Amino acid sequence: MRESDFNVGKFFAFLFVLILFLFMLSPLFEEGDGAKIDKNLSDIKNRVSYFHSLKSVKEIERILSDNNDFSKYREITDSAKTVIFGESKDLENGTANLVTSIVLDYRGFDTLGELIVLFISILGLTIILSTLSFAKFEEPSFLQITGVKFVTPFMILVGIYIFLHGHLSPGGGFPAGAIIATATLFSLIGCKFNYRVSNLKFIESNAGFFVILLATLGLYFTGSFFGNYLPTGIVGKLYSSSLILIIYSLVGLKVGAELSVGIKTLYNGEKDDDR
Amino acid sequence: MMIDNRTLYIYSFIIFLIGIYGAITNRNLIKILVSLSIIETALNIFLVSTGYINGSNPPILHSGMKLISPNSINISDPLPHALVLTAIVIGVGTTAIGIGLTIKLYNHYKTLNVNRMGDKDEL
Repeated sequence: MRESDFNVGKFFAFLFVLILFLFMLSPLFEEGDGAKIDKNLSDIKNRVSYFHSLKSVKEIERILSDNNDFSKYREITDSAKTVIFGESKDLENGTANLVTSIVLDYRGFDTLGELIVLFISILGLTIILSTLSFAKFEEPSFLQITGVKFVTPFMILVGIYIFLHGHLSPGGGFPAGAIIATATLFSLIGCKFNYRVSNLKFIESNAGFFVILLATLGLYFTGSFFGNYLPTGIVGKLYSSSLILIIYSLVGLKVGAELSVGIKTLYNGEKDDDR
Repeated sequence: MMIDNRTLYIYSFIIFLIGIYGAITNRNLIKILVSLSIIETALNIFLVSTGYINGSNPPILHSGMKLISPNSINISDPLPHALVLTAIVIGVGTTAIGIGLTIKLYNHYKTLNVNRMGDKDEL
């Protein structure tokens, strides 16, 4: 294609994007009966996650079993339940980070599916790249080798800290896994440290197995998949919400090992010496 | 400074459209992948900003904080955050697959330009 055609195409692409922008702006400023974003949604009390925040989903079950109308009971006045940091104990789940309590307790299936998606994508990556061999990287310099050997243990330590504190602070298993995988990438490029892929796959498969085992035990003890059957403790302590702590640690190990396998595959193909 | 939800929506629209423009006009496969990642980021910003409430705190309990029903919950909505966490991980998976396919195509055609990929007839 010639260069002038390309410029015409760029002009039409810009026009298309502009029209799309105006189209997307219209529901924000419309006042009619058409599509518009409800102003009441800016109040958390009008959302379902209000109950997630108060860690009392069983309240909804009680309301729904009494009379099947959820919409009347948005304003619950009889259950003045208070969650205080460092004092409340034996809640539904004892995580201080409300996002973690949603990710691993109320929407545990979501996280399980997420893990499966990540597993399948890394599997597909290894299948796609199974017959290729890549150009060699440059030999690392002395400075790279020394710096990477100094930094990498600290990166792994930060990753472990983040997945152990997933129920107290921002972060959790998935960011921690990404940090651990970055550490393996550093050590691959910087000092040519040769990970054995079989070890990583061992960690990954066992972590995934134990996540599913612990979730299935919830089916036996509490009657629901991903049910919390261990004591939840006091909100804000490190050893609170034991099941979520264990599962998030396993998720961190699994994601870290899985992404490391992906990075190793992208680095030198599946042509590994120990396969 | 108070930021309106609507402002955040408009910012995310702009980032989304930058990604769309890049994906339409570029021929290089790597640049198209980067554009798709930009679109993903814009969608994540949009989803998170739907959960934002003016002047609210992050949904994490810290020392001295109380959640009292039903009077005042001054936190942003934690549910979109959880959904975006899922979306980010799936984005990583799709990006990894895309990079793998790009490497495969480059080894096959010896070019990254989409327009020149069908030129060799004997393939």
